[in-house]
Amino acid sequence: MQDNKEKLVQWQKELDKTRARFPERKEKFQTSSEIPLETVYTNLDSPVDAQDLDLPGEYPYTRGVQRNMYRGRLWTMRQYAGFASAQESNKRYKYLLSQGQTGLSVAFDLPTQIGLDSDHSLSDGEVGKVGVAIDSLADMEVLFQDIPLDKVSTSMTINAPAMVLLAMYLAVAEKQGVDWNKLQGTIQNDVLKEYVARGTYIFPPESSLKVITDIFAFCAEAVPKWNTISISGYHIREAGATAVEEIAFTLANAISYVDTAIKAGLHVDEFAPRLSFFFNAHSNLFEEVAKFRAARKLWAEIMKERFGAENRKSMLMRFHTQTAGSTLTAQQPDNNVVRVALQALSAVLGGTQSLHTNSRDEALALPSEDSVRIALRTQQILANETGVADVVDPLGGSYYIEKLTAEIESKVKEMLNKIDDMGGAVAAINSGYIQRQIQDSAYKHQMAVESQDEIIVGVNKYEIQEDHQPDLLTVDPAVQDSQVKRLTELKANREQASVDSALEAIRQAAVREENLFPPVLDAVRAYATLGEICGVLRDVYGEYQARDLI
Amino acid sequence: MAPIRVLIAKPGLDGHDRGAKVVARALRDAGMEVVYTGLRQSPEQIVQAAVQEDVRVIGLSCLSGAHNSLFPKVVKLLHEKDSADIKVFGGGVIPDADIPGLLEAGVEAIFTPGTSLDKIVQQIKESAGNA
Amino acid sequence: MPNWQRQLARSITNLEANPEIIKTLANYPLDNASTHVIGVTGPPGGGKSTLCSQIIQHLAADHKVAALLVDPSSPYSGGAILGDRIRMQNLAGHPNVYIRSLSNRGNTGGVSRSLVSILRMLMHYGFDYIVVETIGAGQSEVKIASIADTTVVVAVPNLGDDIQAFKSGIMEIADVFVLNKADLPGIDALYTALQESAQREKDGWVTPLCQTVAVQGKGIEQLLAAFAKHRHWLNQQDRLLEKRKQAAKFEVMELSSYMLQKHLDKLPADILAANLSKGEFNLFQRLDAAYAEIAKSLGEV
Repeated sequence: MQDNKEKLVQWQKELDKTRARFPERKEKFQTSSEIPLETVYTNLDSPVDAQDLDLPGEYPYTRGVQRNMYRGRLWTMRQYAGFASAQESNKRYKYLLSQGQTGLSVAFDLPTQIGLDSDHSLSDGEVGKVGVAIDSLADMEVLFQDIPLDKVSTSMTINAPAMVLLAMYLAVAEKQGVDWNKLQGTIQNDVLKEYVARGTYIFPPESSLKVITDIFAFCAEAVPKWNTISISGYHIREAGATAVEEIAFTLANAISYVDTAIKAGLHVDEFAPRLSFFFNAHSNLFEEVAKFRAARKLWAEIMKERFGAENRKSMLMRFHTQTAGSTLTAQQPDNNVVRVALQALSAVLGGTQSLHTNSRDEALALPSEDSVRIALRTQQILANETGVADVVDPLGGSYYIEKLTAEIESKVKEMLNKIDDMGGAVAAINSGYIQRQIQDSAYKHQMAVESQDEIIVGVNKYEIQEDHQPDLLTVDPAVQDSQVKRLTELKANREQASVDSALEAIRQAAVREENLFPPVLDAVRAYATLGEICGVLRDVYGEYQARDLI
Repeated sequence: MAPIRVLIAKPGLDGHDRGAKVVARALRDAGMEVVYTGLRQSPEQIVQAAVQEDVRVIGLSCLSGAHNSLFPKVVKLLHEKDSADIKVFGGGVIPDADIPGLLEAGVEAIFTPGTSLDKIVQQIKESAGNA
Repeated sequence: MPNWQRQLARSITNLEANPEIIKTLANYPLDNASTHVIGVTGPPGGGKSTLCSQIIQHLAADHKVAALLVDPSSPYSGGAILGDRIRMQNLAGHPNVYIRSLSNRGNTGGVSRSLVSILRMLMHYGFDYIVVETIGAGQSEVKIASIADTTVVVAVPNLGDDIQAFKSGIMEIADVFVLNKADLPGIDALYTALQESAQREKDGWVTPLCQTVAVQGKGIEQLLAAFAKHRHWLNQQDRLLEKRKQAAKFEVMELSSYMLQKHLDKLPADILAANLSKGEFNLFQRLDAAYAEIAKSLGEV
């Protein structure tokens, strides 16, 4: 050992001589989280005791949640999609399934995500733009037309009104004759991150947490295979956070959800197995891999030590990953294919359960059919041609990766302690602490780009005179008109009395703090609209007033 | 020299405010007074704020694809309120193909993804100077 | 939205940019008793903005209300982020409400030097209430007390500030105390701690201690009643007139120091320094003599 240390010191001296003669490319080398990087890592850096045997599928699951990971089953290739009308989106889903996609991921438009119908004044110009417009069960039925819900797993990116959309999905399954305990999928249902990074909140935090725990309780019984939450770091990262902050804030939110559910009387092992996560696959390859490994370890330990979970399933951090949209450029968009491939690689090396790869034109619009096909092929090439799926945690044991994993773990712990001291995630959000951290990191990053400390190829270096942009997907503004028309027809044809009494039942349940899921299901079956149902809840809970600080 | 007053606003339902906030900060660091009105602003609210705050420039940020209806609406309302001298800039996820239409509708300029903060600051300074 | 708002907005910009415009404000008196000026201050995190928003919303039902929201400017660039308006954007279209965000333009004390001039302008436009939300960063942001008719100090439990801190400086300026976020733990401790100072009597006015939960609109009615009571008290024995005179004095003090600085600032540092060390008739003696002369001549008016 001493011999090796001396060797290293000697080596460093020689290196210093070299560096004196040939200055390095940068003053200092660091990751996005400002973790300083050595020139090289050796076994002297390894935090892993040579005597310990670290295995995948064994607590604390640093190396993976299953013993044989992708050798048993590849990650789910799940491309987020949806736009315009339910009919259009249904077509796109069928296309993706035919091209080899293995799970569906539904993107809803902003009015739907915010619990507004397509005819609301604030919906103007937004209908069908960033996802599919769903105003009622009628639209949901069209969305999943000819798609067997017992054969396909569906992830729905919906948060504040998640209960309503899930209720619609369950109603569609009913109509297809599919038993609810066969249904597999996820609802994002993570409202805490909305307040700090994504903006599609409706109600204030406390009431939102109540709705979330209602969903946990209902699904634990009625839809046992359903992932009732996808606690997200993706958006937090996109909003400007570093890798460490991404994990820290996500875990802080996760801890809040678990706390709330336990306070509501649920036992941790009852609902924890169905918690899932959603992370970002960003540009610094090794930092990302280390990040995923550290996250798994941290979560396992939190569940076991902090919450006393006993079921091993409660300790497994299963996650979906999406490649980082904010790194894609409008300039030379074909370069984005390369970026996405490398980011996807980090997710696979990091052991993700499912993956969405962005399309090359995403800095400009929703993806065209060609672009989304390339994104899917990227995953298929990774899976079939590169061999990276043939061994579990292939980078495990790399001195660098192990050291970086340990660093990230320790920095995240520090941040979690800080948030604990503040009183937890909700308190940190209410005080603006999390928002400020994210914005500061975002600003720092932008400054680095402006000063060229950070290079974005094609944007601040290697620029060209740009050609006209490739053919982009456009959403026909007529979608708005046709949705509004559909709404009018729906309201004319449904039985108004059942709708009214169903909405009243929701109001009563909300006021009495009973589980909202059953009355929401009834309302959905009666073809109450999303806006009507959320309107009742807005009345009872009020709307969240953003506390914006810059 | 009195600081230039600017309104940064997010019309419509888009909740991605990273860019808007970074720009607001940059303008502040360049000596401007920046009124930031947060998320979910209707064109009416934006124009009302712009007039009451007597800003020279409005910066609109939209990443949801709703820019073609929302940006021109803001310009139109400014005209109706006898405030066409307030210049409107836009940014966000806006394809090149939409830019001519927006300029024709009276938007001063569109800052597409990747535009440097320096450029934005300069252009706003020039625009405000020409009031 | 009527055009007068555009005109008013422009006038305020001009006032801020060019305080010399005070010369024309001889036509805009400050002693207008039909306007009630309410200044709201207190440490950050106290929910001042939300509280002001609630106050304005209630008052705007039957009155014309103006709101001036002050945020600090950056000492480096002189720029500012003016974000208080966010809490009030739901009032943006209200026909009775005018909202304006201001920076303190580098002035300490919580408000900018042109604030009183802006108040004159607003009174001229016939507002029934003017709510001024100041920066309440610390103990020194108390200038509002020299300007407003009713000074409101907003405190919250568990802000991390020692309760002791409340017992000096900022406490003394309060005409009305508000304990906001009254649903939080620690409210009782804070209430007890403040009662001592709050119940002090000054010239016949006993500072009331109001509890609110601004975010839920609770306690606002009682708060407005406290304002009305204070106003009634001010209307007796010419107290309001006296306050407005103090505000005018404050305005003069601010603007005269601005004028002096404006001229001195034009001179290079070494000339100022040279004049300092002049011995017999140095810069300070000259200023002293000149101003004594001016003050004397004012007394003769």
